[in-house]
Amino acid sequence: MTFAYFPGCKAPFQLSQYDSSTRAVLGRLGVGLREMEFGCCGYPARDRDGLAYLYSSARNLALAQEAGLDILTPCKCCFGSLSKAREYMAGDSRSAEQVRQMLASEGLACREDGIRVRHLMQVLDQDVEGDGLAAAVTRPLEGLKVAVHYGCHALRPARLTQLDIPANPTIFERLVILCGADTLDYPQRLECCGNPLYSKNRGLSLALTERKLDSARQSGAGLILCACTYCQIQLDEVQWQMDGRLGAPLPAVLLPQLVGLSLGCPPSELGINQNRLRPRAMEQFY
Amino acid sequence: MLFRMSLLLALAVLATGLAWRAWTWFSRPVGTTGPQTGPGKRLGALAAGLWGGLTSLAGLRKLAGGFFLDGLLQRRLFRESPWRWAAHQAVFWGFVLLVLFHALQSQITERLLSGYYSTLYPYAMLRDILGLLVLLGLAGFAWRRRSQPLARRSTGWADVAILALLGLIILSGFALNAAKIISPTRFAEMVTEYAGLSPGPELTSLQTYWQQNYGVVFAGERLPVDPAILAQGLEAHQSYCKSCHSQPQSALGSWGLSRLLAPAAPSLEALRAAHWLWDVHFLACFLALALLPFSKLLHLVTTPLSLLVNGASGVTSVQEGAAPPTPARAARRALDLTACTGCATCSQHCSVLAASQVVAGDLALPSYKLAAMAGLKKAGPARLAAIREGADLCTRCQRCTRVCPAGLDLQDLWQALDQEMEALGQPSVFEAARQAFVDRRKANGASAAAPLRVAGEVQAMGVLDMALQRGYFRYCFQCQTCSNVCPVVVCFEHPGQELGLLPHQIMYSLELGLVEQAMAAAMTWDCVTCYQCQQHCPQGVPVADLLYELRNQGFWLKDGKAQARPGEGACA
Repeated sequence: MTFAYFPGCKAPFQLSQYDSSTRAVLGRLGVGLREMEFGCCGYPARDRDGLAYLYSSARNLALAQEAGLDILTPCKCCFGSLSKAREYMAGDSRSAEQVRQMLASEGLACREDGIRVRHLMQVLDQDVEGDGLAAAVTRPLEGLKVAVHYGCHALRPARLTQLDIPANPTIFERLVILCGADTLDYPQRLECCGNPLYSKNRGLSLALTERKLDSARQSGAGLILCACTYCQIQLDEVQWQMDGRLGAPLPAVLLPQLVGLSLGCPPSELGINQNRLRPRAMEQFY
Repeated sequence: MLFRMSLLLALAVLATGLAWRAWTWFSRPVGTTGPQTGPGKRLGALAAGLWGGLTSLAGLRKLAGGFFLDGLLQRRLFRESPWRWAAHQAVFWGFVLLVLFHALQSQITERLLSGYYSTLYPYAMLRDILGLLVLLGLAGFAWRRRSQPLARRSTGWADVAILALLGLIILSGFALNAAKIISPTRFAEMVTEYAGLSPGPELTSLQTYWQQNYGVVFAGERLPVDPAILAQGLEAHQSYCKSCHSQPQSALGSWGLSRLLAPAAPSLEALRAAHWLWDVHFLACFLALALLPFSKLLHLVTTPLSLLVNGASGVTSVQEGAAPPTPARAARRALDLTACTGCATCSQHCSVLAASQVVAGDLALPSYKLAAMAGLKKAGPARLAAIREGADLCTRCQRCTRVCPAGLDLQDLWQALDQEMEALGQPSVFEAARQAFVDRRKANGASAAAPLRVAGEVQAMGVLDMALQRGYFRYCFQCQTCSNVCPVVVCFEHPGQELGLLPHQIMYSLELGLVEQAMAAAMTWDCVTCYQCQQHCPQGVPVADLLYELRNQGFWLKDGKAQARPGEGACA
């Protein structure tokens, strides 16, 4: 299977280990990635203007459609943004009509039955050929206690994103268990990391982050697992910058870093040393 | 006399201009600076960097890579577009070789090659080829600026003027050559200087020979052609001319042009074209020299510098609240601001190019931002706000930096731009909107009961257009589930006081048409977009999306003015 790779604006520069570990894992699993020049998914512009967001997002969908490939993205904000745009473009709002015209002037079109938007989690869960991810695990991460962080923008609103059952999703846990590790439930499992408010209301953002980390820490997990660029930035970079003011450090790790380890990838290929907080719990598996 | 004086003047202007530019690289503050980034420190950093580069194998490799691969072979440009690379290489090598071996022929070529005369084969031909190469490249530049939409939009009079000046240099060179080829006055001058012939059969035969074989157009009737006369002319030619003159036909451009001009030869003679074309030619060259420090031509100096420095700087830090830049980075920023060639490659690939067509406009694009940074401190409030709005749209994806053919560290400049905006007290678009609604309302001491009046039409229903939202807030039956799952509400002991209105109250405000009131609630601006409200609403009210749209409308309505979105009426 080949996908049009949509790393998003943040991963390549600010979180390059997400980009490299995603490529490493998908490469091992035989999932093809086609590089294309996409624009921003529109998520940052959503706050500013709905039309700017919809046009940005739909344009990417149209480009992927032109190439005839489903989009694969590791970022949940991009996933949410593109998925919602796909639904909006199927409707008849004035904004959708305007975007259709803007695309047409470039010779692009966003068809209703067009390509799918897939998140990395979905691809690992459902789109790996043959016996899937389970068959490829060579080094089960036994005894590793993981608190998964679902994030918000891929999970909700479920009617538009269609990732999993929003009240009690299991896709993330399934993947972790396939890799041989244990997942722990915790009250804040489905709550927000706080990143969207980081540059708008710093105090509120950090309050949400603190609440999230407290809850995960109390579960006894050795690390918190993210599958979104922004979530990882908040729970790793920002937690590190706060220098202990959010409680005892709980390292945040990216899904492909964990999966990659279980597939036998060397840590250097997964960029684990680029994470700000060292995930000591994982070191026994290096 | 004119030649010497204008050359000296041009060189003086060039030297002064370059010195001034170099001074700015070592002194100009860009973004946050501290005492560690003054001129002395920057010079020290430069010296240290050079020393490190020259005294380590890795450093030498980086410098060599920067110089040869990026500087001479222009690898970055090749990656962007082989066609553009070809055009640029043509202009680059054409000009470099013309300067070295034609302009500086007395200093360089004559010393390297014994028996060199510019009128000999193959030198005349090579010079012509180089000139044609430059013209071809310039035509390529002009073609791109006309046909590529973004390049076309960002082409200004300065870009056209430089292209025209370079074209003038080359074309005047060809014209000069052509005029000299056909000029009998020139012929007579050369005869006086090198043959010393007085009018007579030998002179006539030489003239005939040159008319037939070298393209001179003598005034009056064409000289009669006769094999015997030509044979005599050939002898004279071999005595006096041959050692310095090969036939000009190999110089295709000049020869071709001379044939085109031949019919007008008498007029050209009367106008002394061969004489003043020379003035035009060297004056154009000297003008380019003098303009170099003050125009895009500066990139001849700054681009190699930028590329040389490139390998060493490493990953740019984008951490918030980062310490002031190192002296090296401070110098780099100042250099980069003068090093843009205005090619707009960055803007062509900008991730927010699409979004910028709806909001923020061209100032969201890298090449425009860079140009705006130069005049930031002199910008008025409206301009500053527009620049800020453009800067806010940027997602810091770094693609502009990766594609810049001149190797500028644009990503770092955007951090500097943010810092300069902060220093100038220009709030972000978000902050400005929040101030306009929430803070102003709090300052006015208005209670939640009194609606805030905002000048301009706000249509409560028509505002909210996205497919799933049209009037859907009407379905809200005030179960308060949204407010109870909201993670922001939970952060406060008295959320009503802190946030103004809770989510369910905002929904009801919309039902009552109190849109302005909803916008004045802190909750609207403090929403973290987690979509718990929308997910849990038993009535399917898209609460989070409605809050998004309230913010969108707030941006358009801040300052109390109804601002029309481009191409639509107010509050479309």
